[in-house]
Amino acid sequence: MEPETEAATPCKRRTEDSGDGGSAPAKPRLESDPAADAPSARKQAILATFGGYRDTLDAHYDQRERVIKCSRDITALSKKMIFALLRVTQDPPERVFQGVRAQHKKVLELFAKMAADLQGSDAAKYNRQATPGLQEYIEAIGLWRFLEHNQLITKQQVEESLAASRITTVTDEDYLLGISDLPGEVNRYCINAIGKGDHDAVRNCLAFMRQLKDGVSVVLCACGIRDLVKKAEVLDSSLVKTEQAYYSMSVRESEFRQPA
Amino acid sequence: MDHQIFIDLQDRFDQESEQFEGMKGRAKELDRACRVAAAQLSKAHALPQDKAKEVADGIGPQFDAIRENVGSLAALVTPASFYRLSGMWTNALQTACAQIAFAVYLAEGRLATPEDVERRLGCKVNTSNEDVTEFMVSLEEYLHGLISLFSELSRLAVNSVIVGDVQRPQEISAFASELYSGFQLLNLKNDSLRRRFDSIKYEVKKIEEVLYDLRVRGLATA
Repeated sequence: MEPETEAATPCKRRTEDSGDGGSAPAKPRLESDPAADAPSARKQAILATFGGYRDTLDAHYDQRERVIKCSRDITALSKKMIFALLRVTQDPPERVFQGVRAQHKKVLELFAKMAADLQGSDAAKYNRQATPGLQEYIEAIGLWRFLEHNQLITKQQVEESLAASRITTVTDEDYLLGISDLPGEVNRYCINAIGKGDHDAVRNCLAFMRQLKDGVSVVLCACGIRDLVKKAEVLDSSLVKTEQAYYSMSVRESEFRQPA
Repeated sequence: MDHQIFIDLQDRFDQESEQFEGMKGRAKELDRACRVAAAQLSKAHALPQDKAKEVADGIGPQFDAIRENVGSLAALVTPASFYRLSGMWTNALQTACAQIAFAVYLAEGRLATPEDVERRLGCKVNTSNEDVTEFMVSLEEYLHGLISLFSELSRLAVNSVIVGDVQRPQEISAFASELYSGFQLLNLKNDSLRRRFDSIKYEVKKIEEVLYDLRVRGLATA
C-alpha cells in the first residue's frame, strides 16, 4: 500500500517552527528517533483506554441483551395468561383464576430476574427494552382484574403486584400503553360471551370499552406517545367490532321473540 | 371505571411537556453554542500549523459558552428523567466532544481524554456504566465525537498540503491510525456507533491517499 520513495530530496518546508522542537507531540517530524518513540507511547495510551471502553460497552450491551430476553419471556408468559383467562367462558371461573395465579407467580419470577438489571438510572436507560414485556403483563393482569372485578386496573395496583419483584418503576407510558391493549382481549371475551348468550357480560364489556376509549382519547392529545395513536385506532376498531356483534345478537333475538 | 385515572394522567403529561419545553429551549441554545465553536475551530483548516494552534488555544471562550449552556440544561434535568430525555441533547454533546477532540489535537497533538471533556463541559463522561445521579456525557457520545474527529483529520491532511505543509499529513496519518486501532478494539453492536465506525476506514484511506500523493512525488520524507 505505502510506496517507500526514498529517492528525491525532501523539500523542507519546515519554515519558522523548527525552533520549538522541544514541545514533544505537536512537532512537525524531526527525523527517526522521536517518531519511533513518542507515537508508540501515545498509541499505547489509546489502546489501554479503549480496552477499558470495550469492557464498559460489553457490559452495557450484555445488560441490554439480558433485559431484552427477559422482556420477551415475560411477553410470552403474559400471552399465555391471557389465553388462559379467556377460557373463563368455557371453564369454571374459579379454576381458571387458580391456574392463572400459578402462571402469574412465574411471571413475577421473570420480573425479579429482569429487575436486577433495572435498578437506579438503569430503569430509564433500558426502559425501551423492558417496556414490551411490561405492557403485555399489564394487559394480562388488567384483563384478569376486569374479569374478576369488572374494574380497570390502576397504575398503583400494577406497581403493587410487581413490588415483590423489585421492579421499582412503572411509567405512565408503560401503564397507558398496557391498558390500551385491553379492548382487543375484552372483545374476544365478549364474542365468547355472546356465544353463551350472556347479556350481562356483553353489556359490561361494552361499557368498559367505551369508558376506556373515552379515557384514552382524553390523554391522547396530551401526551406525545407515538405508539398510543396506533393503539387508539385498534381500540376503536375493537369497539366497533363488539358493537356490531352485540347488534347482530340483538337482531337475532328479537326475530325469535316476534312470533310469540 | 374511574375516569379520574385518565384526567390525572393527562395532568401529569401536561406538566411534563411544559418541563420539556424549557429543556428543549436550553438544548437548542447548547446546540447553537456548539455550532459556533465548530465554526470558529474550522478556521484552523485554512491556516498553517502554528496559526491553527493559535486558533485552538483561543477557543476557550467558545467552550466556556458551551459549558454554561450545559450547566443551565443540567440544572433542569433530574436523574430520573435523564435517560428518558437524553435524545434531546445527545447530538449537541456529540458535537461538543468532537470539537474538544479537534481543539486538543490541534493544540497538543494528542487525543482528548474524558478528563479533557469534563474540564471543558463541566460534567463527567460516564466511562464505566455508572448509575446516573447527575448530568453526564455518555461514553457513546464521547466516542461519537471521536469518530467525527476522523473527518476533521482527513480534511486537515488535505488542507495542510494546500497551505504548503507537506510534512504534517504524516503526523496526522499516524495519529488517525493510532486512534483507529483503538476503535478496532471495541465489540460494537449493530447501532449508530457501529455504522459510523464503519465509515472511519474511508477517512483513514483519504489521509493515506494524501501521503501517497506526496511520497510518490518525493514531496515528503518517509
